[in-house]
Amino acid sequence: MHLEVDNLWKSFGSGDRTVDVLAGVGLRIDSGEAMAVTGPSGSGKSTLLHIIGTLEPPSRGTVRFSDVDPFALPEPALAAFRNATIGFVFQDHHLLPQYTVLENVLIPTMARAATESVRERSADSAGVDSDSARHRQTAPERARELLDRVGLGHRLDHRPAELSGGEKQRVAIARALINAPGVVLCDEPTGNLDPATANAVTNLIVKLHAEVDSVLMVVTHSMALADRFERRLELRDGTCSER
Amino acid sequence: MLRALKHYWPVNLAVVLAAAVNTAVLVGALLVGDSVRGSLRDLTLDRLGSVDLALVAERFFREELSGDSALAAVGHVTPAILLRGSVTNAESRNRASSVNVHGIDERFVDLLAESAASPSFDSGESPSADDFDFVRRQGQVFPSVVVNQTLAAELAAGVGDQLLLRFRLGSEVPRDTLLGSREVEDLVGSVRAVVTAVVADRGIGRFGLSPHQALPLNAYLSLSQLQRSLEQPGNVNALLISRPGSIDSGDSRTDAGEPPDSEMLAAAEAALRRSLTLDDFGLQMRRVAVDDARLLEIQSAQFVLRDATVQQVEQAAIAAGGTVQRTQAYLANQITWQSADGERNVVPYSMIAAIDPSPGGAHGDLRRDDGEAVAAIGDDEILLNRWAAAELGLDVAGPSIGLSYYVVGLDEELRTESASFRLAGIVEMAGLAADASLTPEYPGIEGVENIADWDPPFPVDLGLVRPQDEDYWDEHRGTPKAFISQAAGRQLWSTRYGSTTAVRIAPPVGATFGDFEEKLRADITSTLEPVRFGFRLTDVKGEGLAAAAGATDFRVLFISFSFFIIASASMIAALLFGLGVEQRAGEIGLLTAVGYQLRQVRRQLLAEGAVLAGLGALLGIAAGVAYARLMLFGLRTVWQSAVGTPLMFLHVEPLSLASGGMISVVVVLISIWLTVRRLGRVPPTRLLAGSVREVAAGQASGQVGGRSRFTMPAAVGGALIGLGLLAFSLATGNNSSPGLAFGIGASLLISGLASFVYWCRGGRGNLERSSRSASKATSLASAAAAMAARNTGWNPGRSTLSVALVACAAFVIVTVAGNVRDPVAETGTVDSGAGGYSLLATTDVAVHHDLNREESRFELGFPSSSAATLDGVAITSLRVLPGDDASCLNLYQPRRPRVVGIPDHQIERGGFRFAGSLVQELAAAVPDPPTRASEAATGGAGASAAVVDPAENPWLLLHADLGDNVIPAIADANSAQWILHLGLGDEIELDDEKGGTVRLRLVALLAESIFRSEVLVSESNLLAHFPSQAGFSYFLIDAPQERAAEVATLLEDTLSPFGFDATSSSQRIADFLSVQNTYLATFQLLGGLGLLLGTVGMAVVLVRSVIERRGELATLRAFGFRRAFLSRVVLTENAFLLLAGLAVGSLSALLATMPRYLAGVLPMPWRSLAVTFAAVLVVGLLASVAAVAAAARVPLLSTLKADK
Repeated sequence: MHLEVDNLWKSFGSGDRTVDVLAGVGLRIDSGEAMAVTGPSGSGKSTLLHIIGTLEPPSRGTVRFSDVDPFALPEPALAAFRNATIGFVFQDHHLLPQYTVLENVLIPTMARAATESVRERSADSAGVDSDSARHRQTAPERARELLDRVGLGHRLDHRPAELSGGEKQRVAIARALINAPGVVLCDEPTGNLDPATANAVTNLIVKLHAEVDSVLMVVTHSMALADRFERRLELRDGTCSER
Repeated sequence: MLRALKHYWPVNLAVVLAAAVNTAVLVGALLVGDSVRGSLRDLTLDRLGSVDLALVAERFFREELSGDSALAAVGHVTPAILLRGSVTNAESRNRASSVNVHGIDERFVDLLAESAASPSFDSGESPSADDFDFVRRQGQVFPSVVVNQTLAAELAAGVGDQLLLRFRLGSEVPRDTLLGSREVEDLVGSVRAVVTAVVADRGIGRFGLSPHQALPLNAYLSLSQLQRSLEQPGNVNALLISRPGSIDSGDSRTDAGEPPDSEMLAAAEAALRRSLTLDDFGLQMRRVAVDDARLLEIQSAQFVLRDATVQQVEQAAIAAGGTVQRTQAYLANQITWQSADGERNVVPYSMIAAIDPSPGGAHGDLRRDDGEAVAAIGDDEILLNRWAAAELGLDVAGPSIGLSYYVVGLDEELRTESASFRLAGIVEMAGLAADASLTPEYPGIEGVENIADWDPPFPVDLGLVRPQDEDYWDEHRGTPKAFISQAAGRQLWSTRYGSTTAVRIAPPVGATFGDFEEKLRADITSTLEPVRFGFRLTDVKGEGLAAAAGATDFRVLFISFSFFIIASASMIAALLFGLGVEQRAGEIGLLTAVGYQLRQVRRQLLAEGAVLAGLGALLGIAAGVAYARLMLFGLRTVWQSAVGTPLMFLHVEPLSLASGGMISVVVVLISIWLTVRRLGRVPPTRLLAGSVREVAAGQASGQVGGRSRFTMPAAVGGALIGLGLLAFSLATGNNSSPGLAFGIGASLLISGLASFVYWCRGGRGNLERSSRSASKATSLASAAAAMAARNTGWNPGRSTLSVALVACAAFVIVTVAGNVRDPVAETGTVDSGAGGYSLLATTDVAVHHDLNREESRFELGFPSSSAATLDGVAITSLRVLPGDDASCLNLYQPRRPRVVGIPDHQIERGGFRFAGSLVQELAAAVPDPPTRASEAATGGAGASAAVVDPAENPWLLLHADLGDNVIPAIADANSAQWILHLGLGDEIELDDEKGGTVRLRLVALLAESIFRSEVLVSESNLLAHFPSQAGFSYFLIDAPQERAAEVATLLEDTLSPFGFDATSSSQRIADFLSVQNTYLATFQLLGGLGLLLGTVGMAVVLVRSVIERRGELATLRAFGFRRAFLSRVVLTENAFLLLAGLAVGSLSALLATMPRYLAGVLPMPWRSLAVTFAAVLVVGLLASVAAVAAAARVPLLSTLKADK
C-alpha cells in the first residue's frame, strides 16, 4: 500500500471570493512510513487530512491508494473503501457514549458487515483485501488484543463516560486499527490532552505504527509530536514543503 | 423573545400546530357536549312551544275546566286529549304502534303552531295553523286526520289516504274489577279518518310531553271528533298551560339550567284544587232516604271508594257535625243452604250488603222479625232478608249459609270463590233492609226490566234465574238479600281500589239539609288530593329543560374518546419544544455561562412556550369548532345509533371555547415545563457543547445498575399476577367479570412495560455477537438491529414514554374491540340478558286477559288455528307504570323512569344474568321461601322451576321488606350506572297515587338485559302504590326460537287493536348494543387516530434522537457506515418501538379477553384490529422517514468539526 497525492487543490467560495486552501499539494508515502503534517492554523492541514481520508473530495488533483482513486468510486463503494482502508483518530475521540469500550472498538467491523456486498462488488477494482469473513470472525478477539495493547484490557465493559481523556483517545486508536487499515490518519490526536498524557498517547501511536506496517499521517500543532516521525510535511498558504 | 420565536420558526410552528391539535380536540369534545345539550334543549322547546305546565289525568274531566277563572289567572289554558294508540294504513295495512293520538282544536294549534322555532331548526317549513283545518272537504266521508312526517313515512301514507286509528277507551270502572268491562270493544276505541295534511316533524309536528329525542309518531284529530269516538263528549284528559302573554310574544324559556317554575306550578295546583268539583273527582253526592231519615251518600264512579277518600269524606262529614256509615254491596252468584237431608237450596244473583248497623241512629235499622233492631253482625254471621230466607226454606238462625261470588285475580281473570257464614237471623224487609239504594247503579244491570236482560261485564248463567227471582227484581230491584259485617265484606271483596261502596252521612240534628249538603260538598272537595285521583300537574317545560342536561355527559365522553389524541398531541408539543430547546442548547449554555440564572432561562423558555401554546390554542379553538362540527356530522350519520336522532346541531358556548383553550394551554405548558425542568440537570459545559442531555447514572457507570430496583419486581410480579388471574379465570370459567379482565390486562401491561424498561436499561443489543455473525444477510440485519436496540436504550425514558403511549392505546383499542357485543349471544339461555325469552312485546292499550289461557284467547279473537302456533308458548304479562325511557336510547335525563311490575311466578322462576345484588345485606329481609313458593302463581315461563334461595335467585329480593314506602327494585346495571347514575342501595323517589312518595331502592342489577328502559319492582308492590295500573302492556314470550317469528306475527295480527308490537329479544338487545357498540366504535376510531398521532410523536422522538446523535452518525460514516445502513438503523429503531408498544398493549389486552373469547362470548374483530394496527405501523414507519431523512442528511465534516 502506498498513498500518492498529486497536485491537490481545494477551494472554498466562488468567483472572486474563492479561497484556495490547498494549492497543488503533492506527496507520496509508502507502507511503514509515518508523516507529520504541521503548519499554522488555516494552512489546510485538516483539509488535506480529510481529503486523504475521503471525507471530502478535492477541487482538483488526485489521491490514490495503491493506484485506486477512491473519489472515482460511487458513494457505497467509497464508504466500504474508507472502512477497509482508512483508520481515523480524531482530536475529539468521537466515542459513542451508549457503547462499551469493546463495542466502540468493534464499531468499524459492523460497518464492514453493513458494506459487505458493496465492498465485494468493488473489491476487484479497488484492489482491496476483501477477506471480511476472517475479520468478522476474529474481530472481538482482535479488539481485545488491541485494547490490551493500548493498556485498556481491564476496561472492556466500561463506557466512555468513565474513562479519562487519555484513555478515550487510546480507545479511539484501537478503533482506528481494528480493521487493519492501510492508512491511519490522526487529526490532532493529542490536542485535548495534558503533556504527560499526550506523550503517552504519542508513544502508543508510534509503537503501534511500527507494529502494523501501515501508512501513518498525523496532523498536529505539536512540534514534539511531529519530531517523533521520520517525515514532516509543512503546509503554508496551501502549499507544502517536506523537511 | 419575539426574535427567538421568529428565528426558530420551523420548530415553533410545529409546536403551535401540536398545541392547536390538542386544543382542537379538547374544545371539540366540549362543544360536542354543548351541542348535544343544546340540541336537546332546542328539541324540548320545539316540541313544547309555549306550553309550560301540563295537567294530564288518568281519567277524563270537563273540558270547561280550561275556562275556569282560577286556572285562567295562572296562564293560558288549552284543553286537549292526549292518547297513546296505534294506526293502520287502511290500504297498505302498514301499522304503527306507540302513536301519539292528539285530540286538538284551534286553541292547541294557536298554542303550538305559531311558536317560534328554535334557531337550530331554521331550514324547511314549519307546520302552519292552516294544516290543522279539520273541516271535512266536499265529498269527504271520514273525518280528517293530520299526521307528522315520521308517522306518514312509517305508514307509507300521504294526503288522501285512509287511516284506522285505535286507542284506549276511558272507563271510570277499573278494568280489573268485577264490574270493569274487558271486552275488546269496550277497551279499544277506533276511528277511520282521512289524511288531510302531513306536517313537518317540528314544532307542533313534534309535540309530546315525554322527554325523548327520537322523532315521535303523531296523529292529530279534531278534539270534538275524538271526544265522540271516545264517548267522552265535553271531556278531555289534558290541560296545557302557558304563561300569560307567552303565546302572543312567542316568549319561552330557553335557559336549560333554569329550574322548574315552582311558583307557577304551585299557583296552578292551588287553582286546580279550587276548580275541581266532586264530579271531576268521579264522586257523586246523592240524597237517599231510609225510613224517614234523609241522608247524603257519597259514591264513586268506580263503584268503590278508595280508603283514603273514605277517610277524607268521613273527616269532613264529622267535622261538619254529621254522622257516617260505610256501606259495601257485592254480587253473590249464589246464596246456598244445604239441608240435613242433603237438599241444596240456591238463590242466584243476589246483592249482599256489608254494613255495620247503628241501631237507633239516623241511618236506619235492620230489624229482625221480632222487631228488634240488629245491634251488630259478627264477622262469621249473616242476616238474610225474609224473602231470601223463605226461598232457602229457613226460618231460624243457626244454619250455615254459603256464598259464592266472583273475584278478579292478579292475572285479571275471574275466579269463583266461596265463603260460609252462620245464619244469625232473618231481617224484615223494611228500613235499611228494604233500601234498594244500597246497591249502586251497576252498568248492564241498573235500569233493565228483567234479570234476563242483564248485560253485566261478567258472565251470568241465566239458566239459574227462576221466575221468583224475576219477581223479586221487579219488586225490589237490587235490594240486598243478605247482610254481613263490614269486616267480613272487606275480607272477602276488598280490592286494591278499596272496599267501601258508599259513605252515608246523616246531617246533624237541627241542620238544614240543603245548607249541610252544600257545605259538605265544598268541604269534601277542598280536602281531596287531585293527585290521588290521577290529576298530575307537571312543569313539563322546566323538567324537560332540566332533563336536557342529558343522562350522558358527552363532553366527558368525547374527551375520553379523544384521550389518546390529546395525550399524543401534548407529547408531540413537548417533544417538539424539546427539539427547539436542543437546537438552542449552546445559547442556553452561553447564557448560563455569562451569569444568567437557570431560573431566568427556564422562565424565558416557558414564556416562549406560553406564547406558542397560546397561539396554538387560538388556532385550535377555530379548529375545535370544525372538529365538533365533524363529530356532530358523525353523530347525525354514521354514529346516529348513539344519539337516536338526526337533530343534533352545533352549539358553541363561549365558556367551552375559553375553558378548552385554557386547559390545552395548561396541558401543553406542563408538558413543556417537564422538558425545560431537565435543563437543571445538564452541566453548562454540555450545554455549551450543544447538548441538553444529562448523563444518567446508569449510562455513566456502564453497568446494569441503571435499572430501577423496582423494574424487575414489577415485570415479574405483574406477569405472575396477570397469568395467575388468567389461570383462575380459565379454571373457574369466570369470563364475565370486567374487574377480572381488567386485572389481567393491567397486570400484564405493567409487566410488559416494566420488562421493556428493564430491557432498555440493560444495554441490550449485542454488538460483539453481531460482529461474530458469519452469515452476511444475518450479519447486516443483526448489526442494524443491535445498534437500533442499543440506541433505543440510550434514552430509556423517552423510549419508554413512546412505547407506553402506543401500548396503552393499543391495549385500550383491543379491549374496546373485545367489548363489541354480539346480540345473538346475549339471548340464548335462561341466564342470558333475555332470560330465555325469545320475544318481548308492548301494547298501547293494556290487555286484561291472561294470554296463556285458551278462554282468554278465544275472547280476544284468536283464530282456532292459532292453537298449534301457540302450543308450548308461555307468555308472562307485566304491568307498566308509564314513565321515561331509562335506557341509553334516551339522551334526556329520566325524571320518572318507567316502572314494570314483575309477577311472582317470574320472580320465583329467576333467570337473567345479574351484575350485582344486595343479597348479603337483604337475605334476612326476604320472607320465608316456602310461603312464597306456595304462593307462586301458575303459568308463565318456567314457573315450575322456582328458585327460592335469594343467593341463587336475586329476583327474590323484590320481596324484601324494606320498611314503609320503600320498595326493592331491580334495574339494568348499564342503565343504572350511566343513565340513572345510581348504584346498588341507591333510591329513586316517585310520587305515588296515594299523594305521598315511594322510594325504589336498587337491590340488584341485571347485566346486559332487555330491561334497560325500565326499573323493575314486584307486581304486588307496584299495585300497592300505584293501584290504578290495571292491565298488562309488557309481555315476555317464551317461544321456541324456530317459531318465534310465527308467534310474533300471530300475536301482532290478533292483538292489533291493542297496538301489540312484538320484537325479538336479540333485536331489542341489538338496539341497546348498537348504542354501546357505536360508542365503542367512536372510541376505537378516535383512539386509533390518537395512536396514529402517537406514532408521529414517536417519529419526533427519533428526529430528536438523530439530532442529538448527529455527531455519532458522522463518526460512523467516517468509519465507513453507509447512509442507507444508518437510515436502516433509525428505521429499525422506530419500528422496534412501535412493535414493542403494539405487542405489549395488544398482547396484554388479548390475554385479558382470552377467557371470554375461548368461552365464545367475545367475537373479536380481528380484521378491523389488523387494519388499525397495520395503519399504525405504516403511518409510524412513514413518519419515521423524517427521522431517516434527518439521519441521512447529517453533514459529515461539519458535524465532526462542530462536535469537538
